Amino acid sequence: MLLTVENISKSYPSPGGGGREIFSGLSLQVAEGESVAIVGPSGSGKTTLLNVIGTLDSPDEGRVLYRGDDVTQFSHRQLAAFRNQEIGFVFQQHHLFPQCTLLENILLPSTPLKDARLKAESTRRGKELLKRVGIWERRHQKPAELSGGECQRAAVVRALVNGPGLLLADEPTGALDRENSTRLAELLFELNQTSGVALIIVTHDLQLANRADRVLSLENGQLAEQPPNSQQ
Amino acid sequence: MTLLQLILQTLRHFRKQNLALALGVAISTAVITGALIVGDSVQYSLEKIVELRLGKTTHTISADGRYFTVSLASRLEKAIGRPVAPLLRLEGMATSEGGHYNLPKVQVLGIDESFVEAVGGPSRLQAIAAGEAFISRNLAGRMNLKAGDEFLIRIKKLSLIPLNAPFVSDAGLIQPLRLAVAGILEEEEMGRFHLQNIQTAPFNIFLSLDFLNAAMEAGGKANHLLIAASSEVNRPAIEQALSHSWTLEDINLELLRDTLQNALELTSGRVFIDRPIQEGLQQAPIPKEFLLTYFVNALTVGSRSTPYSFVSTLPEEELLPEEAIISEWLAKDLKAHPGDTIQMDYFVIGPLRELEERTARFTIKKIVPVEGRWADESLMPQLPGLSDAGNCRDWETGVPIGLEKIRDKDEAYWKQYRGTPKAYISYTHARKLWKSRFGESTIIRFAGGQSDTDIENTVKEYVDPFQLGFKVESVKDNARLAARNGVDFSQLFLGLSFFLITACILLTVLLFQLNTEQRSAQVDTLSFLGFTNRQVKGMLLAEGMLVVLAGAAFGLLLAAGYNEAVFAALNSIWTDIVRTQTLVSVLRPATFAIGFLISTMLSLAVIYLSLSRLLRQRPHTLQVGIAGPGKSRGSILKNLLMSGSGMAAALLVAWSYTQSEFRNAGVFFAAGGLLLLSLLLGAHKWIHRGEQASERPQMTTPVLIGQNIRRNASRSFLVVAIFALAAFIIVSTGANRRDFFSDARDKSSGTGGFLFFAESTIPVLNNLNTPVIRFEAGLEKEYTVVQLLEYQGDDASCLNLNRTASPRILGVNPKGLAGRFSFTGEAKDMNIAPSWHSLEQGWPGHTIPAIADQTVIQWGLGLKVGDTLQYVDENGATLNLKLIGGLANSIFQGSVLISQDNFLRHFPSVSGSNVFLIDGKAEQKAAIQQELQQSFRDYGWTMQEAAARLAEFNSVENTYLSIFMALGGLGLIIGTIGLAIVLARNLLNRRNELGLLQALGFPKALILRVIVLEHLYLLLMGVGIGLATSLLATLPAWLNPHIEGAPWSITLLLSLIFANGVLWIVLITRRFLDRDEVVKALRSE
Repeated sequence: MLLTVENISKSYPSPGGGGREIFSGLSLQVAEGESVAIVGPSGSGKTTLLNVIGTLDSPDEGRVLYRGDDVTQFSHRQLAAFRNQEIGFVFQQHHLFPQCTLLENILLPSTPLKDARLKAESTRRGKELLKRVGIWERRHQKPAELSGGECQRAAVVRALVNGPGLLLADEPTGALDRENSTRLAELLFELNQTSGVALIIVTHDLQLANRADRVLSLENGQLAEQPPNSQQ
Repeated sequence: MTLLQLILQTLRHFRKQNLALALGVAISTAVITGALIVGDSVQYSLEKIVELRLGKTTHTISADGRYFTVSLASRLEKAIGRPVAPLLRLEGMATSEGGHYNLPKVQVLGIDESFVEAVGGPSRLQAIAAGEAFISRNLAGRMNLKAGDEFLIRIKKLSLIPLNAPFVSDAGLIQPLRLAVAGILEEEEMGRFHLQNIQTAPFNIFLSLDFLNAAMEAGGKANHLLIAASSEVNRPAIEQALSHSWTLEDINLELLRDTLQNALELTSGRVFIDRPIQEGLQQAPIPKEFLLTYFVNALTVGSRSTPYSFVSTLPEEELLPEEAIISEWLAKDLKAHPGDTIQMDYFVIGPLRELEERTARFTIKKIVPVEGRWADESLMPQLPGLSDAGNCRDWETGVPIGLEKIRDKDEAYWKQYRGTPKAYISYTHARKLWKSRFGESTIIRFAGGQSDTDIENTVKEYVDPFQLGFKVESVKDNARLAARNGVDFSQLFLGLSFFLITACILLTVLLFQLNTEQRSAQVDTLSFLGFTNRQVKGMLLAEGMLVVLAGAAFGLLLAAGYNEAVFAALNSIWTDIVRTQTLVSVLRPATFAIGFLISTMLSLAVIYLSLSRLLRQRPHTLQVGIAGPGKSRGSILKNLLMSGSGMAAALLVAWSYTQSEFRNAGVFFAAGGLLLLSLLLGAHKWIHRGEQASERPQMTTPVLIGQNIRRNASRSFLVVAIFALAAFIIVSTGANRRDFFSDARDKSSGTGGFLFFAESTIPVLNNLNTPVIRFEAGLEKEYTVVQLLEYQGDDASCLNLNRTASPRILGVNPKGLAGRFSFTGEAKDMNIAPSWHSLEQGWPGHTIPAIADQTVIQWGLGLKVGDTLQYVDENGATLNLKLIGGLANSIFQGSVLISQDNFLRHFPSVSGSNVFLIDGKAEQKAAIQQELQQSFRDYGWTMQEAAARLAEFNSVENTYLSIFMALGGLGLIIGTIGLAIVLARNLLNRRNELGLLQALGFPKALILRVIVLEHLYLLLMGVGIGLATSLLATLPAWLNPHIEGAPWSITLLLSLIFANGVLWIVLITRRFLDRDEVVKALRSE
C-alpha cells in the first residue's frame, strides 16, 4: 500500500477557547498509482487532510504511513526530503516564482537534491514533461508572460519533476476557466495513469472528482466512500 | 538551477524593494561610519594642533612664577646636547588704534635666536629688532594690524619679588610697551605657539628677549626653557642635567661679602629667603646664622616715638626673646635707657595686602653705637622703592606711610645710615612675629674663612631646585595624551545619532519584513517543494546579506559626505562645541572598515531576528481556508515585561517622591524610559491582539479602523514605535535646554547670584572691598567683590576638547561664597557634606579639600567626587586635591576651587587676584560695569555678566542638544519614509477591498477618511506615547526654574511631526484613490 492513514485526529484552537475538531479517527488507504478524489462542503477539513498527508501539518493523533514508513515520526530534515522526492503538490494558484523562467521554475525541486544522478534525472524528466504538456516552447519565458492555464500546467510539471509517488492536488482547477480546467484535469489523470503516480485530488468539481478511481466524501470529520457518479 | 542563481535572480526581480532596503542600510552605515570619521577627524585635528602649538618642543622647564637666568638655557643645552631655548612668557593686553581695539590675555613671548632651532618657525624670528614684534594671524585680525602698524601692550612688570610680599610697592606694576608689527605669523610659522593643552588659538606677540628684559629692567631673565629633546634625552635625563646646571642666580640668590661682619651673606632677589633654601641649608654642617630684618611703623618709649625704622635680629646667644638692643641714635631720640620698655608697632600683611597693625614690647638690654657691626646697612632688604629711595619722602613701600610723621632727623638718618637697623631683637622671636608665607629670613650669614665657591657648592648640595618650583614637563607627550583622551566625538556623535540610527534600523526591519511578507507564498512553495527551513532561511539571509553589503558599501560613500556636512556645521553653526577653526577631516580605511563592519553586523542581526520571527510564525498561506494559530510564543514574556517596566516606572517615581532627591533627573529619565517601554509593549499587545477584536456585535468605523491596523500588526507597530521615539527625544532634549538669565540673581543658581564675573590679565593686589583702596581706585558705587587667587592650569571646562589633568586652581575665601551656588555631587564614603566651609578643613600631609563643577569632574577630568587630583606645589611637593563636592552647573566650570589659606600655603608666590565675582544692585549694573572697566582698564580687565558666562558654557550643552535634535529630525524623516512605505504597501495590499467599497457605492471621501483615520490613529498613538513618557522623563527639568524648557518650540516641533505625518497620509491616499488603481484591481479580479 502506498499510503495508509490510520485513525488520525486534528483540531484547531478556537477563539472562544477549547478546540474545533476537524476530523477524528479518520483512516484512508491509497494504493500505488490509484487516483482518489475527496469532496465535501467548505470547511469540512479537505485541505487540512491534504496538508497532513503531505506532511505540511501533523495530526494530533494517529499515524500516516507511506510505503510502510510512519512519516509522523520523521524529523524536519527527513520530512523536507520526503516532500521533495515523494510528494508533489498542486494548488489552486500556481505559485510559480515570477523571478524565474518556466524551466527554472519546474526545476526548482531538483535544487535541494545532492545526488548528481538524481538531479540529472529530474532535469531530464522535467524537460520531457514540459514537452508533454505542450509548453516546451515557452520554457524561457517568465510566468507573467504566460496564461493561467500554462502556468498551472507548469505547476503540475514542477510537482512531478522529482518523480514522486503521490501527487496532492488542492482545487487545482479552481482558478482556471472551463477550457483550461478540462485540459488540466485530463493532464492530471493522464499523468496518473501513464507515470504511475498516485493522485489525491481535493475538489468541489464533481465532474473532475468522478474521473478518479474512488471518490471520498469528507463530512463531519469522517470519510465516506461515494459510489461512482453518485452525485452527477 | 543552483541556489546562487535563484538568489541572484530573486534580487534582480525584487530590485526596487531591495534598493529601498539597501538605502536604509546605507543611511545607517553613513551615520555610524560618519560618526566614527568625525571622531577620527577631531582627534587628528587635536593632534595636529599639538604639533602646531609646540613645534619641535618636547619638554619645558618652568619654575612657578620664578624667573631664572637666560644663560641656564645654554648650560643645559651643553649638558644634554639638544637645542634649548629660553623664553620669557608673560600675559598682557594689547591695544591698537588709540584704544579702539583692546584685547586682554594676549601671550607676550620674549624669544632669542635659539627659539627657531628648539621650537621652529621662520628664520625671521631669529633676529627680532628692539621695539618690533611678530604677531599671530588671529591677533592681527582682531586688532586690525598689518606689518608696520604700531600698537601698545601692557604687561605686568617683571619682578623677582612676589608682589604681595611685605613692603613691596605696587607702583609701576604695569609696564606699557609700544611695538611695531614686524610681520604676521601663520599657524605653520609657530603663530599658534602655546604651552597649554587647549585647541583654541592663543593671541601671540613675539618680541626679542633682550628687548623685553631691557624694558623690564630685568637683566637676562626667562621663565621657561623650551627643549627639543630626542628619544635618548628623556625627562629624567633633563632633570638630571638641570640639577647640575643651575647656579645661585637661577634661584635668585646672591652671595655678598660683608666686610663689616667679616662674613659671606646670602640674600635673595625675592627679599625673603625661600623656605626650601632655608630648610636645606639648616642641614648643612657649616656655621651660619639666619637674620630677619623688618620694617616697623614706630618704636616708642614712653611718650616719645620714632617712625618707620628697620629692626633686625641677632642670634639667641646675644639676646633673650623679650630683650632688644637699640642704637645710640634711637636711644637719644627716645631718651631711652637700658631696662626701659620699648614698644614696636608693625604691620602684618594679609593675602590681598590687608594690613593689621600689631605691637610687641621689649626690654632694652643695651645701647650700641652706630658703628662697626651696628652700622651695617646691608641688613636692610633690597626693596625697590624703599631701599633705593633718596629721601624718606620718596619711599614707595606698599604700606601706608604717614609723611607728616617723618622728621628732619629721620631724613638725616636715612641720608647717613640708609636703612641701618635702629634696633635688634632675637631671631627666634622675630621669626614668630614676622615670618610669612614668603619666608622667615632675609639673610643667611656664613662665618668668614669660607670662600664663595665653598658656599656656592654647599648651597648646590643642600638645596633642591625642584623644591623651588622648577619642573620639567614632557609637554609634547602630555599634549598628545590629552588630545588622544579628549572628547570622543565618535561616541558623542554615535550617541547624538542614536535616534537616527534607531530609525534607520527600524526602517531596515520594516522594509525587510515587507519584502519577506510579500514573498511568504514563495517561502511556503519552497517548503512544500522539499526545501528545509534552514535552506529557506539561508537563502533569504543570503539575499539580505547581499543587499546589506551593497547598501553598506554605498553607505561608506555617503559617510564621507555626512562627515563633510558635520564638519561644515562644526566649523560654523556648531562651533560652540569645538572652539577652533582648525578642524580637518581625515578618512582612514580602518575607520571605514569598522563602520562597514558595525553597520553590516547590526543590519544582518536585525534581519536575522526579523527573519527568524517571520519564519517561526509563518502560516501555510498557499491553501485556501487555512490560517495559522495566532498565539505568539513570547507573549507571556512580553506581558511580564510590559507590566514589570510600568510598575518599575511607578515605583521609581514613588520612591523619588519619598526621597530628598525628588528632582533627581536620572531617576525620572529612567522612569520615563521604562514607561515608554511599557506603553510601547502595550501598544504592541493591542495591535497584535488579533481575533478577539473581530467578535463585535456590529461593524463600526472605529472597529473597522482597529481591524485594519491589526491586519499588518508589525508594520503598524513599527510606525507607532518610530513616532513614539521621535516625540520622546524631541521633548526630552527640548525640555533640558538651559535657561541662562531667568534666575541669574538666585544665589543657589550657577551664577551664585553674582552680577558679574571678571578676570584681569594683571593681578589686582589689593582687597577691593577696603574703603581706602576703593577710594584710591575711584570705586564709588555700592557693590562687593569676591576676589579669587589663580594658579594657572589647563581649562577643564567643556570648551576644551582635550582631556586635562591639571586644571586651573582658584583660591577662594569660603566666607565670600557661603550660601551661594548648589552642590550636586558628594562622595558617599567621605562623610562630608560638601559646602564652602568644608574647604577649610585641615587634613594631614599634602592633601587638601577641593570643589569643582560636577561637569568638570565627570567630563573634563574623567573623575568622580572623592577622587584626587595631583599637582606639584611651589615647593616641589606633591599636592593632592581631594574632590569633596561637585557644583551644579556653575560659572566655575574649568577650574578647581580650594580655600585661600590652603592656596597661599602651597602657592605662596601667587600675589593678588585675577578672578573676581561682583555682587551689587541689578539696577546699577551698567554703572558698576563702567566704573570697574574704567578703573582697571590697564589691567586687561574683562568682565561679563555672570549669567552670560554661564550661558557660554551652557551654549555647549545646548549645541549638543541642537545637534541631537537636528539628527533626530533626520531620523524623523526616515520615520516618515517608513510611514509612507507602510501606507503605500497597505493600500496596494488592499486594492481589491477598496475597489469593492467603491463598487458598493462608498464615496471616495469616505474611503479616504477611513484610511486617513487608520494611520492617524497610529500617528497619534506614537506621538502620544512619546509625549506622555517624555514628560515624565523630564519632570525635574520642567519643575526646575533654572531650565528653559522651551515649551513653545517643543509644541511647534511636535505639531510639525504630526502635520508632516498627516500630510503624507493624505497625499499618498488621495493619489492612490485618484489613480483608480482600486477599480483596475477589481476589474482584473
